[in-house]
Amino acid sequence: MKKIEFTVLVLITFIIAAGAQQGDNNSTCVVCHRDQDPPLSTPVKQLKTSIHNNPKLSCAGCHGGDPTAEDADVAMSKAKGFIGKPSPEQIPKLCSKCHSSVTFMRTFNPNVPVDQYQLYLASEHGILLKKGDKKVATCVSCHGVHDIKRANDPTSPVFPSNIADRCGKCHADADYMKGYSIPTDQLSEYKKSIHAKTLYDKGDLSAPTCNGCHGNHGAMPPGIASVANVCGTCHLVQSEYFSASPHKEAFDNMGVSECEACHGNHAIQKTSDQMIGTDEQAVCTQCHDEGSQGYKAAASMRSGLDSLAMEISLAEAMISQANQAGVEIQDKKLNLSKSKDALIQSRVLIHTLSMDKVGGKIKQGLKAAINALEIGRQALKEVGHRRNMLIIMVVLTLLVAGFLVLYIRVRERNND
Amino acid sequence: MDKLIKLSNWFEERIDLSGVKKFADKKVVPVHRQHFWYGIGGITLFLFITQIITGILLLLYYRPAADSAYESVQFIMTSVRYGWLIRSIHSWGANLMIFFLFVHMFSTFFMKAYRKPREMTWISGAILLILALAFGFSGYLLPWNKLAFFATKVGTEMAAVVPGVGKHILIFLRGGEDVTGATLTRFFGFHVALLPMTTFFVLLIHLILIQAQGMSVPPTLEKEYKKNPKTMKFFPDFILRDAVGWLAVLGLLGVLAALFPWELGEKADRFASAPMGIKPEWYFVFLFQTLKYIPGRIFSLNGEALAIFAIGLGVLFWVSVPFFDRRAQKNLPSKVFTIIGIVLIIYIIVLTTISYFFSS
Repeated sequence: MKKIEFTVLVLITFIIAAGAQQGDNNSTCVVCHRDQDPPLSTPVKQLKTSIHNNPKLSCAGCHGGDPTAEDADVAMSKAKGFIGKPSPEQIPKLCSKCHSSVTFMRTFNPNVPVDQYQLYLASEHGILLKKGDKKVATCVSCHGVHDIKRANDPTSPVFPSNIADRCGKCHADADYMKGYSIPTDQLSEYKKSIHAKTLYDKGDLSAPTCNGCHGNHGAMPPGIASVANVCGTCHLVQSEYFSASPHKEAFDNMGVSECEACHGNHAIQKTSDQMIGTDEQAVCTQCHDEGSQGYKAAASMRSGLDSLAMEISLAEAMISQANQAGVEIQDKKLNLSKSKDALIQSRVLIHTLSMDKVGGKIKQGLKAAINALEIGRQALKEVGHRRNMLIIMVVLTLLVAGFLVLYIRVRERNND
Repeated sequence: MDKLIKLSNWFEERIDLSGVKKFADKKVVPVHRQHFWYGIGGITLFLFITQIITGILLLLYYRPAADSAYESVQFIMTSVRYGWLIRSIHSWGANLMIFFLFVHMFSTFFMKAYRKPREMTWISGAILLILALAFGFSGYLLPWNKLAFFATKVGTEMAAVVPGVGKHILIFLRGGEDVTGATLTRFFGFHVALLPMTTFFVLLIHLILIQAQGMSVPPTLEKEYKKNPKTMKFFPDFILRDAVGWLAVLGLLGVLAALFPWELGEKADRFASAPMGIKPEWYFVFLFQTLKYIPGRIFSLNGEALAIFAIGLGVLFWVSVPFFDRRAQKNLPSKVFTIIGIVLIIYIIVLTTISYFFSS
């Protein structure tokens, strides 16, 4: 323990000492490099907007060498620990010097995670790197090099809306991925998905991108058993229902990936009622043959959902017609939202495979939809009543006006 | 009939109405090719009376607070017997009243009815128009719906560009920095107390002046009229003709209210984003569209402030027209002012059309 503390202390002293000398941009690294032609001057420029542009950090922290030496040969000598451009296998360890140090990192932010290195070592990337594969991603592949930004900076390559493209830089490049025997269509598939639409079109940064399911530093394809856990982090209720359903055991026995078997993976689409039932688009018929109990249950659930959806759309159309005719309906929203909520809940309850639960919820929804339908009917009746009243009123007004005109004529004649 | 005469006698024994009777018997209205326009003012007055009646009925249920205004109007529309009709007549009536006010104003303008001795009648009429617009602006916010909320926000913001006192006017109108429940309560106060009271007095002056001075014959018809002075009795001949017009407008109001009931929209939410294509009421649209064409800076001065200043001058000129139109004062044709009026009507129609149909 004392040895670790001593190492950390030496490390901090080294970094702080280096920072004290370099942080003011007067280190010999900056002084020489800033006047060079690109690419030698590029790091100095890029560092200006980087999160690492901090007096506590210096070039020597990553590259080694002596930033106080005025002679370039001395400053960048091996004797002074200069390593030049770190090789891929050096990078994770190098970054972890600071990022795995709780005591150092908490001087910036007490809540910042420090387990990235451990996670990386356990990731597919880390495992392959250890095996000597220099093509795999290391820290800089995702975060950049001298222009590293905070992950919540929209210009950072690891900002949620930029992550898929960053992963795709390697994973969508068929030439680069040759020899890894994994597909390279994940990025194009993902961009068609409902998750991508939510992230890019709606701008919802909580929508999952690559790291949402695969992890980031510990990136690894989820195994068959863990897919449901991955999806379940967001789709909690569906996951719970599924785990308690007879499908769980059946899927496990068949070695079928749980959610993915019906919903797909990267190109996952918005669910629809067509997914359930016995139609061509229905996923149930992938396993349940005609006449089987599962087949019948699927057909019955679909028919329940369809009838509820139909009642809701009828009620909506009727209420909208009455609304357009100018009848305000106070309880319409309540009843319609009750029935719509029930429809959504019924769809989620499909994961339980329990006809009682699904059917019960559909019944609740139907009751509210029928109420809404009745409100719509009454409203349309009111429209008719108003029209009739209008006719009577206009006729009466015209009659009175007609009598007045006649009376005026009579008076005119008498006056003449 | 006997009972009616008895009742009349009962009153006459207590109040001397002979003067009024004499006045009513003597009062006549000129009859000529354009005497039709004399009835427009009566229609406007009739609509104002419907506004008072329906407004009082709405007051029975309306609650002027941010958390209950919308709900109370919704209650009127859904649960109060014929509440929807009362509210629709109030809303349509307001719009028709302003429409007829414009028609009345332009008809008297083109007939040069503002000539001596009727300058005060014209000025009091112009003040009534301004008051009616203020009624419309304040009443628009009262249902506390989204559209009205943002339209009021934009409308009151215009006051802020007045140099020096703009900010104070804005705070006075809004009851604070922003449009809130305080603005609603304030606008309610303007709508049901301050404006009706002021309108009542100005309207009284306007009507007294009309009764005292009689109807004006346009200069273009004066010679012809003097050759053949034809008149009709105000009571009951003119009033009966007026009543036909009132009934026609009442029928129109009924048709509009039943076929196109005034929408309530969504409840105002001050944290929601402003709806697209937000516009003030139609009678302010030409001014709103004018402001859109004004550049931000004119000779290093605030363009909007200059435009509002110019509009203010324009209104002042319009109100003071009797004093500028010297030819009309001498009973001579004043083509320049007729052209000014025509240009103004074309300007209002063109800009309103652009705003509704051709503006993004």
